[in-house]
Amino acid sequence: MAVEFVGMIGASYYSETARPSGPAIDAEYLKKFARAYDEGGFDWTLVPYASASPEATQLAAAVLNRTERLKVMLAHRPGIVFPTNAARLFATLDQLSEGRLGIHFLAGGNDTEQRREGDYLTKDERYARAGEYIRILRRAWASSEPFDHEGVYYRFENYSSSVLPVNRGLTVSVGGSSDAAYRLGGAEGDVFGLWGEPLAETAQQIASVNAYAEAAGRPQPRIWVSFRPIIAATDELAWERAERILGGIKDNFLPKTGNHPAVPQNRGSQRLLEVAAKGERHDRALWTPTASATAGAGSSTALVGSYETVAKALLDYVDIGCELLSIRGYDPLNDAVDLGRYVLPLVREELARRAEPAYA
Amino acid sequence: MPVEFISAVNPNRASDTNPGPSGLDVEYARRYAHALDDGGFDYTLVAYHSSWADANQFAQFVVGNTERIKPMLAHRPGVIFPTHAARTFATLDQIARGRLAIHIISGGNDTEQHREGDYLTKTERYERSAEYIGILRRAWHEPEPFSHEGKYFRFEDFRSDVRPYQDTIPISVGGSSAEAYRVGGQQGDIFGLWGEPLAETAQQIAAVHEIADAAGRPRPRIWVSFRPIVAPTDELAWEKAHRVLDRVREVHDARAAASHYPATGQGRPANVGSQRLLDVAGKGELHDRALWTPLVTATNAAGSSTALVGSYETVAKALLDYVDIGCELLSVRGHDPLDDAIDYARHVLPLVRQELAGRAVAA
Repeated sequence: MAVEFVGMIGASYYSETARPSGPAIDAEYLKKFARAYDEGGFDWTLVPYASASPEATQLAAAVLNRTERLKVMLAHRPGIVFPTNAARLFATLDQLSEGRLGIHFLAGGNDTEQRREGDYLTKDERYARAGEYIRILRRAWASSEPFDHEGVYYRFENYSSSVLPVNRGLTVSVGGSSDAAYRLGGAEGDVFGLWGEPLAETAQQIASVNAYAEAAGRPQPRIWVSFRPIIAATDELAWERAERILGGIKDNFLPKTGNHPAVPQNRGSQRLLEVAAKGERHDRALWTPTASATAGAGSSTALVGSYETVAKALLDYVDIGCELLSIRGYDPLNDAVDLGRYVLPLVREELARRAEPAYA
Repeated sequence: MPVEFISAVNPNRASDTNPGPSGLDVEYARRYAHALDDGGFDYTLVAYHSSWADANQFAQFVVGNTERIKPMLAHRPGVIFPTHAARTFATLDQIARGRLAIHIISGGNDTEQHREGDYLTKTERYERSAEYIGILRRAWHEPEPFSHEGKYFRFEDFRSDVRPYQDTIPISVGGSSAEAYRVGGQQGDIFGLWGEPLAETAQQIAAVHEIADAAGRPRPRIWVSFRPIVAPTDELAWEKAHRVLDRVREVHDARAAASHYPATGQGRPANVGSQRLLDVAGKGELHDRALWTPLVTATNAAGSSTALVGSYETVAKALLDYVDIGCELLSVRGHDPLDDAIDYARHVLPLVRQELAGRAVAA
């Protein structure tokens, strides 16, 4: 399949380099941001999930209503919405957007954050629940035939939906870096998401997920990897910018209390900190102090360089099997515009060049 | 507050006279929303059923395709965790710039509730609704993180960054059981009833008011629902009413299969509102100025099913009779839904509004 670019939209300006301010939803900002991704050639935007944030499915609908091509990868935590209702909601949104929806299932990496919305399961139980949930959704998406379910986490009778997704199914993404995540990804994922570690470590994680997929007798998931590019017209300017960004993070980043503890609970963040402990720079352009400065709060490893350098760094990941490339800068809207006009075309041109038949 | 009009928006062409396709017909839904908005309706009910297009998404669709009309978004506690629901509604209210109200349904039918994993009894469902409404309002208004340990919900340290656009999002409660009156009187901004004769409706209103007064809070605004059958003259309207009745009887079994109410002959519905309508129908076909009950019998009271039959003037007067006993939100929904909505907007709403404006000047 083709390499695709993924952004991450916000309903208002937010950056780790600045103190939070302003309303949670800025309608004008949301519209501009959605357009920047849509018109800039991004294939997807992630709509993230957090217990305090504007609600993701409503934001997703707002984004889809303001765009023509862009697909939404909607972050969703099993355990908050009953699965039949979630299946129907996603099917409705897929119909309304003419087939532009995918779902990124999160098992939840932090107990404190989960309890805010009434979820008291352990992490292992959350992964098990996510598996049952995804299977219910796939069934509810495939057909309007009524069905019953009696599982470990859910029970219902005679459910059917008159609304199905456009293609009788939706892209299912799973992410994480624990064994439970690899197992769920291999068993259920069409896409598997990772945060950007060095090439060798990323290749190891891909191998782990693929082993589980093979054991489950399923196709390998498409690999989705995430970075925080710090781009500029030259490498030198980019490194200057990187130092300023790091300074901004150190001065201003306020972890959302409980979500991003200094010692993270989730394996993905722990791994980023382990990579950072091994060194600040890896491979062509991977830079880790941004991760250290936020205790691995989400996707937080940078790719630093000129547009050309960062494009090449992204292609290095394509070469080890990554297909969905998440790139979101520390100046979200402006970087979305610049990534769209300067970096995406370089990656796509190179991929097109490689795809051309060789002439003697 | 002024009298307002409400009519449900349909996601597809199915109706009481057309068993029709289910699912989501986007073009038709858009046209329907436009007709209601252009026609001057104040609210549109976005209904909830376990097999229909998702109401929370459909409500944003309505907002995105209209200028003025406000979704009255039907919602069942127990399917979505309340803090998440609070955020959903606040987010939608922001996107809609204040065009939103929530109609809390506690669920009148166990079979339908089981479809989405809800095995509580009806009494428990109403109790849960009461706890849920409290949580919604705290989530919308509490400045600091808060925890909750209740009978039905438990969570710790929740705070929402997103708040309603309006000062608060109006919450409606409906039903005709004692539990419904209690939750509505104690917590509702709006209370919804199906259109019974004036005397019975006045009794229900008094029951809700008594509870609100005892709780020391403002009385909810009363929302009453009818299925008007209108035409340029009374004679034409009665002819139409009999045609509608014949057609409804013809398609009833097919319609009942897709509904959450029992078909005629499958026993009395579980919900008190439907039982009351059947009792009214048992007492007579025609009540007060224009209330007509044979459609209640023909559908086994599957939802709001009492008709107001008459010319535009007759039906406008009948609606004003309900305004005179304290009703403020008037729901009018036809058996040929889109065409009827257009006709109500053109011929009936202006008559009611004109009369009310005249009274206001005279006062």
